[in-house]
Amino acid sequence: MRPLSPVLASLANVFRIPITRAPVRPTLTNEILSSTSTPTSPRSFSTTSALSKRKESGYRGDRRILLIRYFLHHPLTPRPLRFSRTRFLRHWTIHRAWNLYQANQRRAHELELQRQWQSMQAACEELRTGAGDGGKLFRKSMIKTGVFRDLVPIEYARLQTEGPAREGWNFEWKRD
Amino acid sequence: MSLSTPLRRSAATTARVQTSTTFICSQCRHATLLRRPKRPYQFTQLITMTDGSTFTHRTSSPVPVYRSTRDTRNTLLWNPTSSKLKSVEDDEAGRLAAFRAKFGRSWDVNTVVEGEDAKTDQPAKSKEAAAAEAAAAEEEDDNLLDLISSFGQEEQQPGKKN
Amino acid sequence: MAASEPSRYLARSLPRALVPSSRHQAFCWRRNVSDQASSRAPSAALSDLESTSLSTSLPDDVVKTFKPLERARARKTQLPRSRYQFRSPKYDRGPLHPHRPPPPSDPSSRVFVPGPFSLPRVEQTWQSTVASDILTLLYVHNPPGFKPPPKAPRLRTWDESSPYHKNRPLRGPRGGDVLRLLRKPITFNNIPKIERITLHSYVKKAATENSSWLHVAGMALQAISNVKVETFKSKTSVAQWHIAPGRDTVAVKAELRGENMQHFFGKLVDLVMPKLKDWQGVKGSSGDSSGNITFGLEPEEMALFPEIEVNYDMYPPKMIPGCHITIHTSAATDKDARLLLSAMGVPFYGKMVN
Repeated sequence: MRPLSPVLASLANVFRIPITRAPVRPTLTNEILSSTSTPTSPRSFSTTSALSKRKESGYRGDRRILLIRYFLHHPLTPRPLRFSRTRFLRHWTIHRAWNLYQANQRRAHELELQRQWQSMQAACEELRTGAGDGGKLFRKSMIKTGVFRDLVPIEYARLQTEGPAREGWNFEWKRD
Repeated sequence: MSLSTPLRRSAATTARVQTSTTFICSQCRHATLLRRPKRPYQFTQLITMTDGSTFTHRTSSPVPVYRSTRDTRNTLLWNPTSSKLKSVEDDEAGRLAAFRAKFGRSWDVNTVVEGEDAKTDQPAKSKEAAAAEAAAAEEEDDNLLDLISSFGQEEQQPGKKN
Repeated sequence: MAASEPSRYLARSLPRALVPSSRHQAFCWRRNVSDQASSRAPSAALSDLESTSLSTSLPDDVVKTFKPLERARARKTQLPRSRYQFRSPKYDRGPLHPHRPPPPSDPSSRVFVPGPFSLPRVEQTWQSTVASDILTLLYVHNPPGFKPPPKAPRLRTWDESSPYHKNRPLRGPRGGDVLRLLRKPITFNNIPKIERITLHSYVKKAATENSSWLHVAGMALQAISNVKVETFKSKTSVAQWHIAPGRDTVAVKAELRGENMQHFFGKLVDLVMPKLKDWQGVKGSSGDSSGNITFGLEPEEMALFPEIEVNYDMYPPKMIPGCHITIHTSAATDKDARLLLSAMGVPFYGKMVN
């Protein structure tokens, strides 16, 4: 009747396994994971687990739920990385360089969007004043009624993929 | 010293009272416990869609390659204009129609044509034409039942109509 | 932390006999009650006030014997590995504490999460096509020099008809107390994008039966989202299910950001949504009118996720939960959010209600 170690006991508490009835169990993880392992004891001739075989024990759970609880509540998390001076410096350099690179890319993307917006503005201004039709075309182009009603056509709204499709993009497709 | 000893003793007693089965997770107010974030293990998975396009994503399932049987490339909701996915059958050579004419659904084709004929032939008799049209529509709806039930009365019904 | 390091080493390397006397004058900038009461004379305190910490004088022998490089070279064997490595403190004790934890980006920090492992395709799609498309679709031209007419303030003032109106806070908007978000015209710097996705599922059986329902729900959400879930207690009481506020843990939530979110969104749109039976799309009236769109998945639809489909036998089939998926966008109105989502491939149906 060896008592369980505190870690195992708390795990058993989390899994709702009565530990008072089953003190002889070597480790919980072995019991869970070694159900299909090679038979080492006469008990493994029966497929019923020992806990559910025993009548008086309160354990009437699903094995799947037991496993889910085991993996959800497992207390072990890998410790934080501990680097020596050189490796830390290496990591720091790469981290800063990556941040710099990302900031540059973000900046370039913003500038590109700004350039697009400004050229759109210039084109609209030209259409309004310089087209010579009294701004009729400009007014037509500013009608936005369909934008929020019809939204983007869903055939056009495809997420990019890394490998190409067999047919490729259908360039003949037009919105009805 | 005299102040600190009872405090320490009380702390020791509380620690002894607590059962060994629970972790001590309480934290004092002036310090925040920095917990290690728990992240489930992730794998990189290659997904092949039905039109052959592929992409990779990070997932918790350990299967390296996933072939989808149904995705945005072969669903009608995402391809409303694609002729392939619509259930309209294109019958270019007329073979499907010929098959139907010979073996099945020929009675279906006939009744529809009859109704249309009745509508076009007698525009003057409006009441009777409307009644006939309604009858034709009904026939169109449950013509199989009609065919079965009125098998012997085929000669009488056109007479009533016209 | 880095600034306090040399002084720590210096103090450690000093001969033990010298430390107490020199320390009081040079190194100890903080004063403790016990120090002052027992060992310090009032004159020492006065001199401490006068002398700045920079101009303290060390005894010469201390300065001469402090040779850290030589000491390190004279060492025969290496120190244990832990002496060369930094261990982050377990508790954050505030900005004034001498032992501060390193920033979360530092790999030695306890909250460090290693960085992005892939460039998600949803992000790439947004950058390459969706952003400029939305910019073009929502462009409204204002001639140069145009100023929009001033609007009435959203919070109204009280008419001073009564003396009790003095110093009252402003009145709320007409027709309801809700102050909606302001929609600014969308230009190149506020194009809507997906900020985060929240998965939430309310498991009522967790209160009425046992906790296994909650655990299975948490595991299912964690499997499809790659994120550890949080649990929540009920805030309302439901009498017929015997749920009391603050007592029963009934809900799990997973909040996705960054890479996890992008991958989840791509998976949801391309693999899961087409498999839903008789699904027309997201309802056009969903949304909280400030740019967050919500829709739900039934329990049998949750099994369509490839992660659950792969080992469906792992979950008790009755216990797989349904969930609500909220997509938080940076748009201020629902119509902008809907436009963004439809450009990313989410179908909508019905009347679009803002």
